[in-house]
Amino acid sequence: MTAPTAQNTGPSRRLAKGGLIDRSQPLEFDFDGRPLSGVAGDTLASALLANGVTLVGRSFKYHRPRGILTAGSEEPNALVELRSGARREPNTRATMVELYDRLSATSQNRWPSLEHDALSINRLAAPLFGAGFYYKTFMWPAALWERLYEPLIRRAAGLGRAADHEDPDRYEKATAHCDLLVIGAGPAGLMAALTAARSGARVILADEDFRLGGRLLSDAPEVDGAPAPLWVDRVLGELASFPDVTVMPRTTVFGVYDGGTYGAVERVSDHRAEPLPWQPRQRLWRIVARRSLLAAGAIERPIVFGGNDRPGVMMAGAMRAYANRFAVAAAREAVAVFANNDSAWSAARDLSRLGVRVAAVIDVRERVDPALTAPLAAAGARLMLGSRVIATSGKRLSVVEVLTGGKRETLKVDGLAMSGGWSPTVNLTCHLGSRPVWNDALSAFLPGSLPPGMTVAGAANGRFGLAACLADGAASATAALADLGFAVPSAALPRADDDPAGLIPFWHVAESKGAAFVDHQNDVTAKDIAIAHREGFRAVEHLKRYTTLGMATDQGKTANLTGLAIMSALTGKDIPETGTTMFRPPYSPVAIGAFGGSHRGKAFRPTRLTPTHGWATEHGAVFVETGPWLRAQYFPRPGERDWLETVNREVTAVRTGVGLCDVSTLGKIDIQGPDAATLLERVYINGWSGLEVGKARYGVMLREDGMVMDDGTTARLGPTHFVMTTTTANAVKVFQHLEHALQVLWPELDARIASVSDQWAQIAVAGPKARETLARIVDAPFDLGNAAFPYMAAAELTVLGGLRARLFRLSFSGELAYEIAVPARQGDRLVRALMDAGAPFGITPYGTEALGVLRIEKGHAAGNELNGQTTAHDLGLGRMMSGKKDFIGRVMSNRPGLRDPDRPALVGLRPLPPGARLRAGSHLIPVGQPTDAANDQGYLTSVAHSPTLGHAIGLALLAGGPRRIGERLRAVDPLRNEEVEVEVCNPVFVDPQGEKLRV
Amino acid sequence: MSDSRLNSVRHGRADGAAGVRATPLHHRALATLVAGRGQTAALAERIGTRFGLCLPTTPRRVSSGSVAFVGVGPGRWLAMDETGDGLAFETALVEAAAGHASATDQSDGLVLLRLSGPDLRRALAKGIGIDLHPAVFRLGDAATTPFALIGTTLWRIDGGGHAHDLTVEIAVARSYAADFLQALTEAAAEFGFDLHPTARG
Repeated sequence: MTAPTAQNTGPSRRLAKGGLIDRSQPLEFDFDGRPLSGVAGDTLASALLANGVTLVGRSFKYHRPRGILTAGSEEPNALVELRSGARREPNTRATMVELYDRLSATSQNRWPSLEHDALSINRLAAPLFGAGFYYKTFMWPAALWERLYEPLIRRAAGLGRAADHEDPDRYEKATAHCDLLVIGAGPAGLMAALTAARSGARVILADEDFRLGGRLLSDAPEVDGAPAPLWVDRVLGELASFPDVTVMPRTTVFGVYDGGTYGAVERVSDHRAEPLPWQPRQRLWRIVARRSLLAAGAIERPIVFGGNDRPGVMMAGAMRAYANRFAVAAAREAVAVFANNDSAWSAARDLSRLGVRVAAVIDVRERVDPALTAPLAAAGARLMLGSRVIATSGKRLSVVEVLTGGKRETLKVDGLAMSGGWSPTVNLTCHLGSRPVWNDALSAFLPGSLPPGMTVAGAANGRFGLAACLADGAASATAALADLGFAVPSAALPRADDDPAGLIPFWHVAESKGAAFVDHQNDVTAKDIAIAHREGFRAVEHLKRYTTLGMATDQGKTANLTGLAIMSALTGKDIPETGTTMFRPPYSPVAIGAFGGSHRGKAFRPTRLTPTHGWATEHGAVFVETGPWLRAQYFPRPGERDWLETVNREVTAVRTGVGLCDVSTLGKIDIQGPDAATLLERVYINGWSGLEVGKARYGVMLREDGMVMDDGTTARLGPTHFVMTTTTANAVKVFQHLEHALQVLWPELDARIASVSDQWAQIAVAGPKARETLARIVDAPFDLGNAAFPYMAAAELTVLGGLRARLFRLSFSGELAYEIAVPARQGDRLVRALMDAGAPFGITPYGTEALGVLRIEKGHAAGNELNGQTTAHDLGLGRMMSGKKDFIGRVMSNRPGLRDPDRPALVGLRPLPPGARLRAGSHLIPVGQPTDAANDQGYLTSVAHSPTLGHAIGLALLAGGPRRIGERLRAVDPLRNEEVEVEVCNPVFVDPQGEKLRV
Repeated sequence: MSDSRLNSVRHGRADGAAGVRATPLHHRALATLVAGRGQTAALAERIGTRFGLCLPTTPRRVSSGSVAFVGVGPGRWLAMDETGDGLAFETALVEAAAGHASATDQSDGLVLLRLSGPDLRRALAKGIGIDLHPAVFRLGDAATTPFALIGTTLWRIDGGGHAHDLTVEIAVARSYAADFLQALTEAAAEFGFDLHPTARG
């Protein structure tokens, strides 16, 4: 994969001294397999530059060689794959990667190698690939899209490759609260945080960099008469002394949300090969702040000229940062500077002072303050005022062509620093919908209306001078905190100077030769904007979509404004008239893993365990997720061939002996109070007032629209005390339903509800031997006899010598059966006691599979039938509906469509060929009719093999329902291409008279 | 939930003092107390007389002797008794309420833990969205809020340490307790997490 590139390196460009790096800590790393060396304090970008690596990637569309353009998070070019294997991470910005020992990075978007990229032939075809290329070219014939065009485009375009394996690292999510969130730790942010901290406020100071200070690190000014980093250290030291101040380096505040909520991602371990023990790779923060101060600084904008994307062309501020902060000369021989503003002269001065030869400073302005030009002239730089760069050449920059005094001249330089001025980083101010406002004096967009609670300070607010930033940070924090009621002590501002910031707007060199790039990452050129203009895509949103300007992973941080300015020149409108595109979260890309946090794999959502989980595990249960619960699905025994054999054994044990099953997952709701029975009357379709104490009853609830919502049994434990059960799936929903009824529908009712789902362990004991089993654990003198405790009886009693319990004679299986409940912590003891008590009868634990077979054999509707589309009539429960009272869903359930006798209703089905298998989901088609939608008369909702009957059985919703018993139909499964002839029958397959459950 | 998990001691970072400590409280009687419609005042009077405290009407914990009430909703409390057994406490509440409320034993429905330690707030911040700063979440304050998607009710108690130290008791539905402990252990691991053994519950 990797072809080492002999040319792509050179002698060290590390300056002999200076820089905020630790030369005593060398760090080894490799790029495209080449071993290289950097030092602590480097970014990957600065270390690559220090090693003379200037070609770091190929561009997205044309595969043009690209270098490092910036020194910050706005970097559009230097995207690399970081790490390898399962930790491989595509599209990481080399300018944001903090160097660590044994870091491994790979260039992307090149084949076979970075130096010789086969697809750079695309450059020759550039006229074809211009704006709107995809729209125009791949329209016809459409059939070729999937087979030819898309695979080709996908191979040629795209950036890095995602890892092929599961991410081995952890991610976390956390919430933080503060009075003031300061976004950005440059001069304004630091001053604001310090001011707030001294007033006793809770402060969070977040910055995307690993070292705080912003331009104080890259511009090397003096504060209080000493190098700025000393002041930064002093401020950070003081901030650390406040318990309620949190300083968060490596943390990008990426989004602003409602209610003073901010999204941030903390790159906890990205600066290590692997996270330290117990540490996540990244942590996603939800920061809730009463006030926020945006001090995000400004981003320098390129000038659009021919060959402005050539490796070696760099932003002036970035070149200054590499020299000052990282002690790296971005060029070996000499640099030229091309600008329209004063800050580039300061950059040139710094470079010259640090020993980088500045061959020329080219400024589009005719006049520049002599205070700026003099030091450079003295250092031997050519001053080329009223001039512009029109072209560059060399695979890596070697020649710059300048238009000066009406003549073309070439300069031999291997570095070109450019600056079109600075754009305040207003991105976060737009996240709640406002647009920035154009400022003619600054030639920049400034924040428009701000999100509630936010103020903007420093360069982000258009105050570019250092002294102005410090003052603005302090004043803004003071105002925000005073607003919150804090007494802010006044303090002297540190001494600093304002850099000159003069500028004339200049965007595009009209005389450019060769491609002049606007959006480096999406390969959008000035010519593409001209095409968009010519073809009518002039509105800014159209321009963006037609050319893909600003739609890359950097969201056009270095491109949007120049693109807009060029369009504005073409249309003859000014910039505010041309408009601006919106900035939306995230400010910079956030890994999806961070959004997932710890909730992945088994922890995707919480799991509930039953009271007998430990016991079931001991007994070899296979578990299944049912909603949030983990339930025993079946209990295989040695020698059983498959789950079906196990389930058949479990079902047969219940039908012939006795079985037990944990049913604690059913929702259980305690309902008390004088109006408890009235509440039941209004939520169930059937009558309740007549229910005696000590009896249970089956009930059905409807939604307001008349469809069945849930079913279950409710027992009356006292005159004003009921305990309701719900299905497992609807436990929470039914509780909410009752809360709604009591709080909203009938606030006059005095009924008091409490969930007791977790309080009671409940076990079903079912089968002809159930009574004999239970008799061995209930305390005397409780009488289990059929007369004393008949079908649907309920009682509170004690078992196992004084253990509080509730007993219900209920049956889901159709056998003689009970449900017994004890306090949840006693569930384990209960199940073991029942297993002992039932041992003489071969008591058999059964799981949800056997439970399902037993209920299908009895024709009981469950989740597959209670699917939100069925009425009580559909399920054969219509006769339960009381005509003597009102209840939720009554009115709507009488809509003609819901009373249509031809509606699909519950029936049983058995296959006619003996031994044939039924498939759930099969559709029912009349015999002899074509298999099409017009003949579709219903479908199978539940199927099982009935060991009791020895053949397959099914439940179905069939048009016309029970009146078609005896008819023959085809059950067609188009997915598996199977069909079987079936006979419609009574859904109650076993003991249709219900005799067994009353014995 | 496997009891072996409750009996382990140190999780996560092994060196130094634990940043987070958890002690399961197995022996407390718990009950939901729900006032009858329009009977909160009458109930408060009865409960006040019987237990010698003022029933809270906001999310707060009020205690007297071994008994405490935590407001968890309008007309709804989580009541607890450090000495009683569940059924006896339920009965005592029913008698005290004299028809103005219903009481339901929850001693088995909820798992109760006491959480403390210098890094507790940082650990809980990984699962709980509300502000637990001691100046905001004051002694006696209570909240019902999810931790790592699991519903909890927690209240701040006096842990006996520095005024800024956070000590809370937290109640979690029993079926979620194993997952809750798993999530808490993960959140607290970087600080060193001591899960104190206690007598079996």
